[in-house]
This record gives sequence, structure tokens and C-alpha cells, in this order.
Amino acid sequence: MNIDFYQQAISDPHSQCPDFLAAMASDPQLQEVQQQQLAQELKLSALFGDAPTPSQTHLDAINAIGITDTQQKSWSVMNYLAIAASLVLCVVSLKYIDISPTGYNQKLVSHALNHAAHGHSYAGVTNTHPSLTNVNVQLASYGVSLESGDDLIWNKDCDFEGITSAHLVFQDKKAKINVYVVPDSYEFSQIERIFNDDRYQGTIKKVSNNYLIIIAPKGHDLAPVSGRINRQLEWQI
Amino acid sequence: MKKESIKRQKYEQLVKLYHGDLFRYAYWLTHDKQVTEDLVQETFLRAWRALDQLADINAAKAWLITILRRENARRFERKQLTLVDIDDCVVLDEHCDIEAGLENKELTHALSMLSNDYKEPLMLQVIFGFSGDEIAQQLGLNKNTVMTRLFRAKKQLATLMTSGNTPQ
Repeated sequence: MNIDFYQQAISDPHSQCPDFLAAMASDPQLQEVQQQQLAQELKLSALFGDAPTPSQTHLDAINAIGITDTQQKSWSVMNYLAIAASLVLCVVSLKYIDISPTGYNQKLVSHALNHAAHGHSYAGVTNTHPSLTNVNVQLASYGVSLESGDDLIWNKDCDFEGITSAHLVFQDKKAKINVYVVPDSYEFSQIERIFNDDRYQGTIKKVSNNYLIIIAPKGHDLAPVSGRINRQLEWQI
Repeated sequence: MKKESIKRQKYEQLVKLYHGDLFRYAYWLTHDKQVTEDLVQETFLRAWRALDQLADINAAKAWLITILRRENARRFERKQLTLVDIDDCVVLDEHCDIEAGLENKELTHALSMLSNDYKEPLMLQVIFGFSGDEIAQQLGLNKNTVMTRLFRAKKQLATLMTSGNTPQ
């Protein structure tokens, strides 16, 4: 038996190389080696197929990838309903949020401050240990991903002035840091500024097609935590 | 809107065609269901983001495996040792007990004795039906090296199954 063809029959029994096929046709021993290898491959294939069944949560997450993007861009009755709902929410917000005449940006930062105060009783009260993969599935529709979930303790999508936005809570020493990723759906009069009220302070800046808002308790050194969070976020440009 | 719809259809096709094989491959790389699910999710997430770069749908299988292997490597860069919950150990023992009763016990054992250098090309050949050239491209090796590793892997499996010895 030719040693090269013998090796080929073992390493690549499916080979369609003409020389190999010709050798096979004239050598029963070689045919036997090939048949043994094909039988072995079947056993291995069955063995490799012996993996656990994926959970329904996993399958749902796989199917949900990208679906938010597609839905946001498809124009349907749902969009009209969403706009109507947004208008209602805006009207409600106007009643409860102190709006200065500086434009929507002021409304947005006011909403962020109020949202942080309102979420104080539930958002990030306990560490829910969010899965980094699931968080990145959530963030994918905003075109951003998180490099590390080490300090992340809570995540959810929230209504933000009628716009579905990502709300993340990070633990920084003893303070909880609220981070919002708000899709750029309106014109804002002012961006990249620092703002505060009597309890919280924050920063807002435009990144990619979103506004990134970071809120910390007043008196907490915002610059280092803001820098760290910015470094952890990877934006799709 | 049409472009997004086409992208979505393309993505769903990839999930339908390759999710099962990727899941099996990831499980054999990680031996942990939760890590496998995370790894496969991350793979499809990255695939979705970069789907516009996939010009040829016929190249999707190799492309997805490349993403998965990179993600698996990143997992080792990001994470150090993880403690295993005691309950998981019990589950593993039960799994081993079940396997002990199966006909392919020897093959499972022999496979576990192979080094990753030999096991990985074998998995790519058996699970995905890749040719020597495709495996070489995937692993960044030349074809001769791949064929040699496949040959040695199979010979070692055969030896281990008959003698029960540890491979040299």
C-alpha cells in the first residue's frame, strides 16, 4: 500500500483527488482503511453532537438580535401609535418637569435628573449581576457595546421623554452611577455640558447617533467615573 | 427599510443554518452550557453588526466560526479562573455516569486525551465538514500541518481506544 495514500485515507477519507480515487479503485486494503475512517467519523459526529439543548432564553436572545433596529425603521401603524404615545408622554412630562426656555436639551437633562431620583428606590438597589452578553444584546440596538460588565449592577430599557433608551447603573465606590443612552431623535439646543440639581449632577454628550448621559450623586467626583465609563463603551461609528 | 429587511432575512438564514453547529462546536470548546450560550450569543451579535461586510453568503460558515473562535480567545483575555459551583460538579458527575453506560465511552475518553492542537482540526472536519484547506485557513496553519495533525489525531484515537494508553 502506498504510504501517502494510506495517510490520506486516514486524514481525509472524503478526498476527491483523482490520484487518490484511482489508488482506491485498485487497492482493497486502502478501501478498507477508508471505510474504517468513515465509520469512525460517524461515531465522532454523533459524539460531537452530544451537546445540551440550548435554553429558550438563549434562543429568544439570538432571535431578538437586531430586531429592535428593524422594527424602529419599519413604518407601520405601530409607529403612529408610538408617536401618539410619545406626544401624550411629552404633554405629561411638561406638566411635571421644570422646563427652562433653553430648548429640548434642558428637558432631556431635567428628565435624566428626575429619572435618577425616581429610580433611586429600585434601579440598582441590589446587584442583579447582569450578563455582559445580554447587556450587549440590549445595547446593540443603540450601536454601542460594553467591554466589561464588572461594575455594572443593573440594566433596563426605559422610556425617556417618549424615546426608548438604555438605562444602566454602575457601582462606583459607595455611589450608584446612572448611565442613559438616548437615541438622537430630536434636535437639542445644547450638548456636552454639565448640569445638576439639589441631589444629582451629570454630563451629557453626543456620541454616534445617541446622547450619553451620566448622572452621579452631587458631591461625587464625576470626572474619573465618567472617563472610565466612556472607555468601557465601544461605539459603532 | 427594504435594506434592513434584507439584512434581517440574511441574519435569520444564518441562525437557521448554523446555530446548531456553532452551539455544538462552542460546547466542545467550553464544556459549559452557560458559557456556550454566552459565546454563541456574542458571536451572532457581532455577526449582526458586521453583516454588511459579508459579501458572499457561501462564506458565512467559515466567517461565523472565525468570529466564534476570536470571541472564545477574548473570553480568556477578559476572564481569569472562575470558581465552579458545587451543584455543577454534581451535574457533571451525573453526566459522566450516564456517559459511562454509553457505547461510546471509550471514544469520549480517548477524545478527551487528545491535545487541543489535534482535537480542534478534527472537530472542524467532523462537525463542519471542512476540507484541509479550509481548516488551514481557519487555524492559520499550512495545509500539510493540518493533514499531519488530522492523521496523528486519528491514529492516537485508534491507539487509545485499543490500549487505553495516554498519547505521547
